[in-house]
Amino acid sequence: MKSNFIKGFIATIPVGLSVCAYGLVLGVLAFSKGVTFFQLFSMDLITFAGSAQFLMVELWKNPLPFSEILFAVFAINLRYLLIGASLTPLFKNSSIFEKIALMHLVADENWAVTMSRLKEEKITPYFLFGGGICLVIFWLLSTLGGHTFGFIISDPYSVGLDFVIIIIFTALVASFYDGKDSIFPWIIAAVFSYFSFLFIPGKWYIVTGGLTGALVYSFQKYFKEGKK
Amino acid sequence: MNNFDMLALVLIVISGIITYSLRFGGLLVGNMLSKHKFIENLIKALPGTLLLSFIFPSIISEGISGVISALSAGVIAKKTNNILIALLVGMLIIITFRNIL
Repeated sequence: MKSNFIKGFIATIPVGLSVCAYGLVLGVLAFSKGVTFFQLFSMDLITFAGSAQFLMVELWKNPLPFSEILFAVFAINLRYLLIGASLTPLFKNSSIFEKIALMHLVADENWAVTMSRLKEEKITPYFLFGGGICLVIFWLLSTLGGHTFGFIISDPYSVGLDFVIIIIFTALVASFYDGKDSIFPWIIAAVFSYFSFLFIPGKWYIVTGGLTGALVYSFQKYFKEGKK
Repeated sequence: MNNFDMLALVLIVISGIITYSLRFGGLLVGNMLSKHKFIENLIKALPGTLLLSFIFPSIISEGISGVISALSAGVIAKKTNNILIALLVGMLIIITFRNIL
């Protein structure tokens, strides 16, 4: 058991380092948006989900847009349903207590490392958990570090700080590109998000575009497979 | 702790509960989901379409420099699998446009 934990921890260090770059940016952004050190610390430990935290910080203002933030967190983290489902074989022999305790620190990165290792050798959920602990350490250090030194950046506009998140998400979008099947749903998502952006106040364009695009993808697959 | 801080903490805790419920819920319904192909595909497509909807209006609002920057970053990320390099190139383009051009 112990060795699985350590193996997972070590295997996740390289991805952990790249997560740091992310965390630093989030920390600086959080500072510029007025999120306090304690609030960021709580988010890191309680939510522990990179893209959701970026969204939360991005939408952060006084008064807090409660329903928009919660819906956005729900929508962007919906993928965890699938990630959780894909972990079923790993947790096959685990007790319900282990499942409850070990699932919290599941993120995209340690999940990916674990799934690829699972193909090669027999590992336990403690491998995944070790990776999670590794990530949470890097995540805390980098986000809180970025927050602490965020004041150094005096003019966020000219250094393009507001655009950092856009670029990071663009890079992530590219990694979700799934060949020709993505093209039409993505065009629909782009069109719907842009028109919602123009005509609906608030940040609902994220959800409008995201849901319509994903629905189109599902229907497209449904009809394609139905024809066969 | 003032009213805003209290609400902020409540918001963070609820966000955490939502996220954890999705993680744990996924594990619980594991095999059931894969039987509903339509839902499985929907969830599979969501991360990409959501992120795209997030960035698209901002890129268009930024204008031509936003489009060039985002396209370069996207292509570099896809080809090199390295988000850091993509970020550096994308930011360099935006900073250049905003400060020099």
